[in-house]
Amino acid sequence: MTRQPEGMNTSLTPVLKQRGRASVDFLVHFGRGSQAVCAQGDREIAAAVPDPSSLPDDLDERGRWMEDAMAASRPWRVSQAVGEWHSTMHGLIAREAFEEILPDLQPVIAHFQTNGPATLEPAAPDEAAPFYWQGVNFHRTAGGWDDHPLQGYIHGEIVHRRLVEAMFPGGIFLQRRAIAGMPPRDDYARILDMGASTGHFTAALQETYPSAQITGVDLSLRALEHAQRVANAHGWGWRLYQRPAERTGFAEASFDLVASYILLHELPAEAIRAVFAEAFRVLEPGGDMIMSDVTRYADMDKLGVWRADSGARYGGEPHWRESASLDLAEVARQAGFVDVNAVGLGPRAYPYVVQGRKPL
Amino acid sequence: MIDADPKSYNHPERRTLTEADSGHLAAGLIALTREVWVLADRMAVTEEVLARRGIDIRAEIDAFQPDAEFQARLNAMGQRLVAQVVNAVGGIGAD
Repeated sequence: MTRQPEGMNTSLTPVLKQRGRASVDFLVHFGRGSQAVCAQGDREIAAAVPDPSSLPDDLDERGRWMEDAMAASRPWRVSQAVGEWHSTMHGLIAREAFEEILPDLQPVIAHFQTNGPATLEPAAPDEAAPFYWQGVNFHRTAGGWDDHPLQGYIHGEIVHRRLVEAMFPGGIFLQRRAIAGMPPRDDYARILDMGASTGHFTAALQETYPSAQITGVDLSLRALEHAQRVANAHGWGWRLYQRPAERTGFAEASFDLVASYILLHELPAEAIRAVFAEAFRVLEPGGDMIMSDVTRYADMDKLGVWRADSGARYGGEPHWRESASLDLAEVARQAGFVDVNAVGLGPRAYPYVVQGRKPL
Repeated sequence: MIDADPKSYNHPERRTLTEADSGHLAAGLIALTREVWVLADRMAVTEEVLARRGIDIRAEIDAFQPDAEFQARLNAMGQRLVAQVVNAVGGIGAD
């Protein structure tokens, strides 16, 4: 398995024991070892749908049509079982691997929670999370983001830095760094990261703009707690707040760059529009915005949309369809941004990056 | 229509295997059981051989971190094991 990128390791980096290490590695073996079956399933899908434009327009109807059409395909059925096992088990296996090393990690976690320059302000006790977030097991993580008291560590260090990094070696961190470097200026002084989560993109922003004061908001307290540990371990003075991105509470013109990375597909359309409006509000005149998210449905054929939509349906992504169906460039313009540019990077137009500027 | 309650995505009903797959599933499980037994036997023999020479490696195994070369070997072994099982269930390379 590929190890963490150089420069990212800290004493927070997990050193898994044999059972946990082999189990997390198994998830990767499972994905790679299933490729032949999945590829055969794909060939049978292509044979069943020679002309994707003939598929039903309605996405629910299209989903039913495809599942009925593929029900006779044994490789497809097996690929669905493979996907289902991975969806339900990856979080639990990561959690089990974590529990094995918790006694060794406890002092390190406690140390970096409180020792260092980063601050974290939880939501007020009477502040309810938005309806679109409450009770949802995003990514089908058992119990949701805040169920386990150290879910931020489990997700940030074991799921992301061990598992996802092994599946896409270097990719998830290189991609974040590439996007952090896309805004037009060479330097920014006050950056807001909307949906900071456990701090992976926040770190890319900090590495790109070393002198910037970075503020991060997210709905998950457990994720932000780990972002705080990461920041403290690096000596970064992030200011973290458990607040919705669409209602940050910061004064107008507080930032010269507002950024987000792969947040928007976790939000329904109404919240996404509110996030762009909030980004516009808290930016100073002349400030820059950059938001990246998943490939737009408008950039895929009907079969590609079905694949993405089906992946979202079974991958714990209840807002993906609404989000991916939005024209984000138009949403940015409606919020007031000018010089709006939107482009899908990479071979499958992923990630989709929207940039704009608040006029002077 | 898509379900309006986002929590309905927590446990979606997914069509996966059917009764028609049960025979292939049994074949896959048996293949897997054999592999697990071969490994369990090898592990027990390894520990016993070392114990007879006065070496207790259990704690060392728990703490062991593979280097890149050994990890690559493990990756290939793991991928091969999964492919044997999943391909057996999926009917790949059986004919």
